[in-house]
Amino acid sequence: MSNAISIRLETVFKSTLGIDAVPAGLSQKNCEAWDSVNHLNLILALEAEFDVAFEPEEIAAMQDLDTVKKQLAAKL
Amino acid sequence: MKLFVFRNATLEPFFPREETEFSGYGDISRVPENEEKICWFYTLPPDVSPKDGQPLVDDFLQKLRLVLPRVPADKRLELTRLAFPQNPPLVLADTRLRDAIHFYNAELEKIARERENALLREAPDFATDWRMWFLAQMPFSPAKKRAEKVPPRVPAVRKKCIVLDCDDTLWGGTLGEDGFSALKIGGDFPGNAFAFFQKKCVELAESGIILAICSKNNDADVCEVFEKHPAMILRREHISAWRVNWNDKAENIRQIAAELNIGLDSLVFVDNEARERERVAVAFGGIVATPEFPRHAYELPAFFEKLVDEFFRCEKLTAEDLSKTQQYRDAAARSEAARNFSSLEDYIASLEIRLLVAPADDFSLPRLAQLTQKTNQFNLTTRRRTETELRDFLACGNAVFSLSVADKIGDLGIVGESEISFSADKKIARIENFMLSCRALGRGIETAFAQRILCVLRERGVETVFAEYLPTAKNAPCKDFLPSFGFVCEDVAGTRFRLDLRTCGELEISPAYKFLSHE
Repeated sequence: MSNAISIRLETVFKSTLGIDAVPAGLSQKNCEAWDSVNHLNLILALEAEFDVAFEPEEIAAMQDLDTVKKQLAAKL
Repeated sequence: MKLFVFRNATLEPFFPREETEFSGYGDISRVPENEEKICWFYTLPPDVSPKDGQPLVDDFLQKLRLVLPRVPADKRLELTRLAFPQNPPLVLADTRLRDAIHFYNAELEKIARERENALLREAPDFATDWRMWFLAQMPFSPAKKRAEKVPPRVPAVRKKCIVLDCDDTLWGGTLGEDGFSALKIGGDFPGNAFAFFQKKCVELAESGIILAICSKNNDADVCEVFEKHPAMILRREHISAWRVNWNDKAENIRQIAAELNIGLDSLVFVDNEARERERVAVAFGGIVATPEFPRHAYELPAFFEKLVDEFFRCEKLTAEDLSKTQQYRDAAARSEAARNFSSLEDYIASLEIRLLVAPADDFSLPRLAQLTQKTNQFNLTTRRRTETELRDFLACGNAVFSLSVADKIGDLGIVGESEISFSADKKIARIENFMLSCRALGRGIETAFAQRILCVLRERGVETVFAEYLPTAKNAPCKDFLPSFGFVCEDVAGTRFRLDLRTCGELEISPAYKFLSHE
């Protein structure tokens, strides 16, 4: 994943989840703000930012930063 | 400024999170005291039926009237109008849904006039993203603007009957493989998308379209789902003609048309399998409509809308339309006995089926083990194997065969497995396992596969073949399989069979199949 895309991705995470930094290993388990409502917001924000659409199965699987990156990279 | 939103669906993405609090879905038990502003924002589900519109808005208004007295008169109250449906109705003269929405919006206007601090909010200008509706109960998506209104399409001639497949069309999953309780109907996605489709089929039936079922399954299994599955919306009484068997679908459809006494050009065949659609399209020269089925369950709403646009919308219903469904059902019941035989041979020839029977190798073993675990319907002995067990079996000098199938529409991959053990002198062979995935059933492939194996055994000098049929709850389709090759039953239970390869004559393989060499 290119640097520019990583930065855009981090920006989406920061503004959607209201967090200051996006550490490696970020996941629904270790981030309180990443709840089910923000998960929906995150998916909508990612789809708008990158002009992609995720499959329902992908949306369900995207529970940590690594998986989100992988799913996104596969679509770009 | 804090806002409290009364709602019945997922609306969070439309409000700033820090400043907004939401009621539970359809919950009016708590009326907040501290919020500065209250918003009433109920929405109709995007899949609402015309007949459900008025009862729903009545319920919304009743709730609102219970909330109003508990909101202080000076508090700011925003009432959100209901949006009109994006798509024109199935029956253009059916104004029930529009009337219900008009009624609701007019009631909101009355309330707004009566209360000093109340004002009306326009319905949001967003369209439904069905993916988000099925996944998260979000009735419209902030990323999807409503499209320009287009004039409704009405087909020049309305079709009369929709013929429906079952597995992965009316429900998610394969009944014969996954079983009754594992079917995806209702509940979470994708079950809710299939429930949507069933609900819309009922709307078709109520508008005079005849529903027919045409499925390759055990009749009793499908009956059980229609009669007993709690999440089914379609029931036997909606269905006017019923063909659940392993016969060629084109022949079934010909019978359905004859039984209902309607022309083949009045039928729309809905099946998720491209092969079945192709078969029916070719068999009738395109006279029976065979619309392409969506790949994803969340595309079912768009698919249904297309069916309505192209085949089923009408200006208005006559009394005759409304009673038609029942008439056809009666007629169908009378003539169901009058079925005749199908021309399966022509169908198979047109598919250009190519079969490859090959000894198992490292590539195929994992898939073969998986097949033994998952195959239920066409499975003579239902012996489950792991990859290691198959390797051990091979290491003892036995044989494992894989069957791969392709036809002109596509490649099915490995769909058949058979395990053969041999006596020390290699004169006696025993069929330990023999199976074909349900994806490849109904085209005579199982017969060709067995014939090929028997030929190979004879070439290797085998004189006698033993085989078993061990009945399970699901493998009735292969009950008469062994005797069809001349196998002789050896016990009263009907489970042990023997075939003498020296005396059984030629093993004919239908020329419809093209065997590829594995050498």
